This record gives sequence, structure tokens and C-alpha cells, in this order.
Amino acid sequence: MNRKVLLALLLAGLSEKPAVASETNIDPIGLLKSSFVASLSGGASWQNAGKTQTLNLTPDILKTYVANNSTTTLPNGQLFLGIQRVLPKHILGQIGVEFAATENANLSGVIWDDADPQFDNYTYQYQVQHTHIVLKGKLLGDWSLPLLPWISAAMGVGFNNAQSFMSTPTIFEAVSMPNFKDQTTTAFTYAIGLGVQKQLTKNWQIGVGFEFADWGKSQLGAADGETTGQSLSLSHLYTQSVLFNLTYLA
Amino acid sequence: MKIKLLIAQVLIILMSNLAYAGTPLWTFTPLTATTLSVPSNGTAMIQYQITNQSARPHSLMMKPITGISQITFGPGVCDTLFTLQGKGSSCTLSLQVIGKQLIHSVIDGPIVCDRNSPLQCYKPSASNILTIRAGVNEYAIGGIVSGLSGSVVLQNNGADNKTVTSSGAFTFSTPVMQGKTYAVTVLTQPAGQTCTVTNGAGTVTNNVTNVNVTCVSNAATLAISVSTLALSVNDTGLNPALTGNPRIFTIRNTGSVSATNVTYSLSPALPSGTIISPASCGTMAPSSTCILTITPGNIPSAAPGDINPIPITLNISGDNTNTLTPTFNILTYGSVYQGGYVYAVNDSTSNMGSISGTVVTLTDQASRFPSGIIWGSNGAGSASADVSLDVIPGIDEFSTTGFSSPTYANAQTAFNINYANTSTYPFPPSSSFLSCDGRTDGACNSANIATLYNMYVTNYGIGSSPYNLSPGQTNVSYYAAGLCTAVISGYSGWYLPAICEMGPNSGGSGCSGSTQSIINQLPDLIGDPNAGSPSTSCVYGANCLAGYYWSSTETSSFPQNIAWVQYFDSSGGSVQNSTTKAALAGVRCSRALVP
Repeated sequence: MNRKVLLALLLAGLSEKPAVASETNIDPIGLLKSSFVASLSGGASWQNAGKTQTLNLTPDILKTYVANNSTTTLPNGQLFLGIQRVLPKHILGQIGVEFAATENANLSGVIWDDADPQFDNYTYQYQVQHTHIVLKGKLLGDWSLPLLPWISAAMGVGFNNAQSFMSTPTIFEAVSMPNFKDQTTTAFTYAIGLGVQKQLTKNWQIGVGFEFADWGKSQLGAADGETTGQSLSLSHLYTQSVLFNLTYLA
Repeated sequence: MKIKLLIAQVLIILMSNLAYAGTPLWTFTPLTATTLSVPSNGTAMIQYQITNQSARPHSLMMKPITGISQITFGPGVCDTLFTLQGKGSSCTLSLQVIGKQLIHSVIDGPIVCDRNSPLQCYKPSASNILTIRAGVNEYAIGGIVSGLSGSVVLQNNGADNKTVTSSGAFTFSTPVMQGKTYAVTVLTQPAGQTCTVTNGAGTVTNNVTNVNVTCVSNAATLAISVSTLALSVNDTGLNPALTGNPRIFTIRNTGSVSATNVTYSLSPALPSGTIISPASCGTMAPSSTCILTITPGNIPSAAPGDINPIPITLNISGDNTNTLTPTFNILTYGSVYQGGYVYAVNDSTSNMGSISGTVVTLTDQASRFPSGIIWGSNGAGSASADVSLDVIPGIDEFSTTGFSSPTYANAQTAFNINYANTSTYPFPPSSSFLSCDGRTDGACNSANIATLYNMYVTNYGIGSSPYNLSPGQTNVSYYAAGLCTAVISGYSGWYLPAICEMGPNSGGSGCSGSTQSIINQLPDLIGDPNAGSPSTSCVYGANCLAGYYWSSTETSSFPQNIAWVQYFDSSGGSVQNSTTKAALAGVRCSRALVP
């Protein structure tokens, strides 16, 4: 059954004319049978802190970047454009493309020279700004309840712009050093979510949802003077978001 | 492995919460004084014990300092690249200060880096930092900034920067030793300005206070209200019309920065009695204006009768602006302007522009009899036999704007009697004729004449009456008013003057005494038709007006056949008369000045 739904979703995305399902009763909420969907979401994301890592900037120079454990809250905005089809068992399927962008996530910590906590002589900070374009699918339950529950899944490509790295000595004897450079990394991004929608009029809905996402890899560029080319990186940047959406169905 | 990492991370959190004070990877323990003065011909020795505080070995190098060289031989002395093996191992960093090579004092360092990489460097603590003051006198380098608006960053010897935010004296923070050179340059210009340095380089022998930085605003743009002005002389005694009203040039700064020191010069000089003010415009803020007022005296800018008068040019500019070169002419009767001699002046126009008035051409368009031209042509030529006798409405000496004379109806009736094919080629509609002040408005009269003769070739007198009209334009060089449609002296818009524009009342023309006319206002142009050479018999000496010349005013008693002529005669016999349109008379066109 699940395969059939998935296949129907895919076919819905590919074909032009909708094939009317045999089980369509008169819909009490009055949703259109097949429609164009546009959804604008806004909300906040929480991203987990960075990861502590030890790097060799030259074969002799060893530094540990100890990440602060704080999570930060970022504004997040998304635009989804897709189509919605009626599926069997009063399930609505949406498939489309989503564009999203967030504010800068702030990551910070202290630096241990020689990877030794005795020499924590610098603090550092930098930012990661994330945008993505993903293919998103959503299934909504049209069961004559006051709200429509839904689940979603998305995957696609994200762009993580790691930037504005700076380090500050914490003792007089430590001399300022060149910074890691800005770098944008293209990464595989995916997300899953669930939430509820409320139909306001024939064409307009509002809703709220929770989404867990992995923004993928982000990495700063090597600093001047490095011979190894290593720099701060994160393989995954996990985020949780609460998003409110305004949806239009045509 | 993961558990170990977890424990390590917990410990990390705990330890960082204990506010563990950081320790330098390698420390500098001074073995000698680290603050001292060194004379310019002397040397000094400074030593630090460099001790590795880390368990890891480090290979280190000192960052070079000008004037200080590292001594690398001797027991326990650090080599250029020296390796300190584990915690506690050390060597002695021996530095020799060479006074002769010091450009300025040293107040930082020494900085020692891992294999000379900028990514891991340490220096002594604040109390042990290297502080070398040159033993000989050091002098301050400074000077004066002028004209600054905003802030400029000056640089001395390529390293010492000084930000100056207002005009006045300045001094660089780093002194330079006696005998060394200094070189002051502008590192960053202020927004919208350019600063130039003079006396910026030299050798220090004493405090330098004469570095001169002059800042001027980047170009401002000046615009002028009009490019040329014509003014009347102030000579109401000569004629009430010559009121000599002051007129203005408005200069405007259209740029985004102030224009400084906006002044002007005049070439040639003003005629005596003419005043221009203000004497200069000074500083003009963006969008501000400066109004130059010219108040004429009774002397024109060029002599009347001078055929190539030189206008007065105002050369206006500021220190940081483009140059404007408007011109102006102060005119009186007989001044040559816009292609002719001025004989009428209207000084009541707006003072933001020029006077208006009337000029007469410098030469004849047709000469007096036996040369000359007919008043109206049938299209075959310009001789008396080619005359076309037609009534042109609205242009006789009684016609006014309120009352057209001859009337359109009379003109049309005469036309229909003269010509046979008027059903195919009717008289031009009444809307195409104006009701003119026939005595004084030659431009209007000439327009009415052109209306008929531009529409038809009349063929008057060809074959038997009534004659057959042909459509099309009568050749303009065949009749008096047509000659004035040409471009003369580079100007167009000429017309055959009305009778009262040519001379005072005579023979019943009814000219008013206050009308400015060629005879009254240009006596020096009037010649003697009975002289041996009438054309050179006037005070101007050439192209004199002498004899009979056509006007554009028809004669009311017999408008079809007769029109007014002016007889110019300097020997006292200028009169106005009427004669047949077939007569050959001279033509001298007039034109209204374009203010």
C-alpha cells in the first residue's frame, strides 16, 4: 500500500492530467481535487552546538577548537511550490520544491594551543548561513476533523556559507593569528516533519509544524600560513524548527 | 573510544568552567634589562630566556625587527631556528640592538613563532616587552592640514598612520631619530576631497612642523542661467526706451560638494559706468546660487556701427569647478547685434533674460532704383512688368488688431474680379490672415503678404484679364517681402518693415512720435541719395540707406495698386510717400531680437 502511495505521488508529479481516483466521495471541507499549492513558512530553528575538533594547521602546529555548548535560535523562512493530488483513503499528497533560508547560526568556543587545556589562550567565533533547495513531499489526512494532520519528508541540496571567523587572544602574550577564510559548501540536506493545517477558506490554509533537519556539511576555508589546508568543519548541522505556514491552494 | 571521548569532553567542560588561566606555549624570562635607550652610534645587548611550557617540542624563530640582529653563537644561545624539546627546555635569545639601523623606537616584541608561521606566535608579558628608545634625539614629524572636511589618514615612512579630522596642526605618534628620513603621504583621502602633501619628505634634524597638507573638495559643477545677455544702455535722455535696467546671470552649483573661491574676470573690461556685482561669489554650497547683476551705464559695450563688436565675456570659475564663459552686450541704437543695427529697444522684458527690440540688416537686400524690386510679383520676375496687383487684407496704415483694413471681404472681392479660376483656386481663407497694426507691425504685414504669394503664382497681367492663377509658391526673390524670408547674416525671421518702423510721421502715414524708427534712431546710417556715392555717404561709411525703400504697409486709399515707401535722405529730406507696387524700390529687412 505504501509503495502504491509513493508511486502515486511520483506519478502525480510527472503526469499532467489527474486520474480521478475511484473512491472520491463528496469532500465535506470542500478541498479542490487537484491543485497548485504555494506555502510560505516562517518560524524559528534551533541548531545544536558545533563539534570540538583538533587540527594540524602545519605539521608542527596543533590546535584544539573546543565548541561552546550553547544552542542558538535562528529565524527561518521557507517557500514551497508544488501540486496537491487527492489519493485513496482521504489522503492528500503534495509534492514540490522548497526554497529556504535562515539567518546566521553562531558557533563559538575557545582554542587550545598544542591541543592542551593549559594553553587556552584564544576564543573564536564564526557563523554559518544556510539556504537550500529541496524536493519535498507531504501527506495530509483529510478525515473531516477540525484540523488536517500531515507528515513531510524532503531532500535536496543545501548551501552552507561558513563565514566571519575571528579569534581573539585572552592573554597579553598570545599574538593574533590569521583567520580561517569564508567558504560556502554544497551539501546534501534532508528533513522530516509533522504538523497540522486548518482550512480557512476554499483557497487559504494556515498551519504549524515541527521539522527536524540535517543541513549537511559546512566548512571554513584554510587560513593564510597553513600548509595542511585543514579548517573547522562540521559534517552535519542538525536543527529543529517550529514553523507557521500560510498556504494557498488554487 | 567513544566513551573516552565522552569523558574527555565532560572534563573539558569542567575545566573550562574552572576559568583556567591560559599559559603561553613558550615564555620569555628577561636576563637583561628590556627597556633601554641606545645611542645612534652605539649598540646594546638584550637577552631573554625562552622556555618551552608544553610537553610537545617546538621549533621556533624570531620575527625580524629592523635595527635588531640575533646573535646565534655561544653556549646555550638560541640559533636562528631553534628547537626546544619538551617542557622546561630553554635557550637564550640574544639580541643585539644596532643604533645606526634603528629607524624609530621599538616598543613591542620580540615575537617568536613556530617555524616562522603566523599561526602560532607568542611574545613576552607586558612588563617584559622590548622597549628601546633611541638614545639620540628623536623628533616629532608634523605639520598643518588645511581645507579639510571629513577625515584624512596620513602615513609616515609607510607604517605610522595618523587620522586627522579637522584642519590645523597634527603630529605623528611615532618620532623619527635624528639623521633618519621621513616621508609623509596621504593613505586615505577624505570623502569628496583630494589632499596633497608638500614638504612631506626630508631628513630629520629637528622637530618637523612644516609638512603641508592641503585639501580641496573634488569638483563641484557650476551652471549658468543663460549663456548670453543683451542689455540696454541707461540713456533716457537719448530716448525714454533706453532705461538701462539691470539684468542678471544666475550661477548655480549643481554638484554635490561646495564650490570654493568662485570668482570671475571680464574680457574686455566693462565700459565706463557699467557695474557688475557682487565682486565674487565666494564659497557656494551645493544647490546654492549666486546672482551676478549687471547694471549698465550710458556707454555701450561696443561702438555703434562697429560691424564686428566684441561681447564682454565673463570667465567664471572656482578652485574646484568647471569654467563658465557667458557673454553679454550693452546695446544702444546703432549697436550691431543678431545680424543688424539696433533701432528699437524694449527694456521691459524679464531681467533674467535679454532685452527685446528690432534690428535692421547691415546691407541692402535690394538696392535703390534703378536697381530695386517690385512690391508683389506675378511669378514671372521682379521687374515692373511682372507686378501683381492684389489687395492683401489687414495691412494698410489704418489697420489695427481690432479692425482689419483693408477688410478680408474687400480683398476677396478684388481677388475674384482679377482672376478667372477662383472657384478652383479660391482666395485664402480669412483665418489665414491676421488683422495687423499696419503702421508698426511689419512682421504681421509680411506674414499676410506671404499667405497669398506662397499659395499662388498669380500670373497677373499674363494674357487677358481676368487672369488664371496657378497653385504653388511665387519665387521669393521676385518681390520685396519675399526677399526677407532668406537667412541673412546667419539669422532667420526677418520681415519687410512697416512704414512707421522706417521713419517718423510724414505724408499722412500717421506714425506716433514715440515709435522708435530707423531714421530717428539711426541717423548715422542715413545717406544722401543725391551724393556721388549714396552707399558710402553716411557717417557709418558703407551700406548707407539712401533713396526709396519699400515698406510692408499698403496705402489705404488704393491698397490694390499702391503701398507706402520711405525716402531716406540725410540732407534733411526724408519723407514717407505712396507709390505704385510696380515701382522698383530698395529693400532692407528688419528682425525682432530674440531675448
